[in-house]
Amino acid sequence: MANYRKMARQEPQIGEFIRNRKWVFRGDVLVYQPDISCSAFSTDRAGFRHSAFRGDRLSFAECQQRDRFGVVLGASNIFGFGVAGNENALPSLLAERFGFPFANLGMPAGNSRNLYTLLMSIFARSAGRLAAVVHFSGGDYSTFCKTSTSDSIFGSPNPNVFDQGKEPDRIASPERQLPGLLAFSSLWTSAIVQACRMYKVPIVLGHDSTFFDKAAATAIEREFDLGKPSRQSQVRQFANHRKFGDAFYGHRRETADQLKVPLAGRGLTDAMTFVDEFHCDANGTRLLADAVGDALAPLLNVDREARERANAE
Amino acid sequence: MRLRPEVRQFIRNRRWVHRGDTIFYGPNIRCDGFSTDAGGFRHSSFRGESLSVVDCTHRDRYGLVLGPSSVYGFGLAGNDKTMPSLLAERFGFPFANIGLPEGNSRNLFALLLGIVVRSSRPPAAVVHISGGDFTNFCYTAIADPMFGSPNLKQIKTVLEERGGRPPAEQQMPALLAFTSLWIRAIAELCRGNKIPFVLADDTTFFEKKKPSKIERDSDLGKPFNAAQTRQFDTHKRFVADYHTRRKAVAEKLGVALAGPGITNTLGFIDEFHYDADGTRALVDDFAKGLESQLK
Repeated sequence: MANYRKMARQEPQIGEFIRNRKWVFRGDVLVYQPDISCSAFSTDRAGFRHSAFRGDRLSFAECQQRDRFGVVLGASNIFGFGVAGNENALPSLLAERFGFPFANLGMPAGNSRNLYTLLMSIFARSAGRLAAVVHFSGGDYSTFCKTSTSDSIFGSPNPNVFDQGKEPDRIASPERQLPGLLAFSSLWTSAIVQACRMYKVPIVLGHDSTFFDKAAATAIEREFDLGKPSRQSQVRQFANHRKFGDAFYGHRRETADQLKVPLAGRGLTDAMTFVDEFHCDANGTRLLADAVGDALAPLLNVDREARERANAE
Repeated sequence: MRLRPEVRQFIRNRRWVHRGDTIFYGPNIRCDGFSTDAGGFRHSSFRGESLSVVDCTHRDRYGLVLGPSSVYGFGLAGNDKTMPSLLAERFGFPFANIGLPEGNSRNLFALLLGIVVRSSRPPAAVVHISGGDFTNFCYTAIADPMFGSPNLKQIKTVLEERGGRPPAEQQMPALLAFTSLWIRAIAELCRGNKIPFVLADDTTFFEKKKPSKIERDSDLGKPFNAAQTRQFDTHKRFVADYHTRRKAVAEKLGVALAGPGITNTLGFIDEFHYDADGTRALVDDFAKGLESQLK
């Protein structure tokens, strides 16, 4: 596992993420600790990382009050673990490009069912102002790799449940559990896409990349020991990542094709650079944001033209 | 247990397991009082057969009862005595028992979505009992407007995180928002698939006007520790608010609301679980709500 101690010595802002990494429950779901404010990042009252827009620092609630806003749904890579500065996280980069704010709805190991819940609450309360949705499903896969188990409706248990070791008999053969993961991920991805269609909100799916998918590590990634397990549980977790990546990402691509939704960010992996095994750095985040933006731009143009036509009529 | 020996089986075999972040009953339990299927759902009965949820969804016509342990039928000996089995007897097609421990509407929505998307035929009827949203809340007095209350296995952790319980009145608006959001999601999913739907106005012993002798002898309503004192007190203080909101949601959505509501004369095994007669009386109400839609 990435040598965080060494990393924090060389890049003190990484230390801020490690020191302030705390998860709390909302209902039966884990979110980041609310109201964190440090030199590298900040979170709002609900535990979502603030996003930036034209110099403003915006909470999820503040984004929802704007005339027009987008959301990026995902896991800790969307939260931007290790990417210092809220303005460098993916939602802020999209806001800069498109001229309206994007809320950062990155949850710890955020899975698609829980992300669907966030989206449902937006549709129930401020549907008319939601202008764009970007969905990343990497949390579905990373929790599966950690726990080797998945249910076809409820996904994998959150890391707290697993770490407590309360149900060791559930550590199953990952090969047998993989169909459950694929069924889970496509069920909730489809639900997210269909909800967006129903409310006529443009949606783009994102392709998650991890260090394990790279053909070759950079010098700095080697220096910080990325990909080297330091505990027995990580041996299994990392092996799962390497073994089932093709199946998971292939299924994601098939789901996107079936739903006729753009899948952005494929083919970038080797160009991306990583803070640790699961989180790309600021340069990698910008690459991904550019790819997502390129996929979203035509949908927003079509949307804008439709709105202009409706206004003219 | 002396007065109702059949309850012993339920206590002895009470096991909760995770599916994802959600708590389910132990799968493949078999004892004199009841049995569960491979998914941890209690079997339901139809014309002498014992049916799993999967068995039900393979039939040409089937219904679902979504809810908490009262749907599961805690303490009610005989799978044939539970709500889904009684509805099956009444309508002539099987009903699956989708009862989870403190099953909340968000988790029940997930199960309904999975069945609607994956089954070759959508259900012919859905009865949704949302009382688990409220009873789960009463354990911790904590709720989130999107995710509800922590589950039974998380209570200790959550109370440590928060440094104790917040005032329940501060958290009630979030609970009401949560229950409205997911009742609406369930109702809209049914409407979108043209599935007859009844929202149950379920109830508990605390809303009963006059306890029976066996209920008094069983000390129903008397807390045995400080946690129960708080739980029962929260329940009594806010149950009217919960019922009022559920009624308003049903009216706004234009869905059938069936059941006794805020007062009842039903029989109870404990504070939250109906006895056989109480279950039958409740099912009569639900059936009336469904009948016109099934015609």
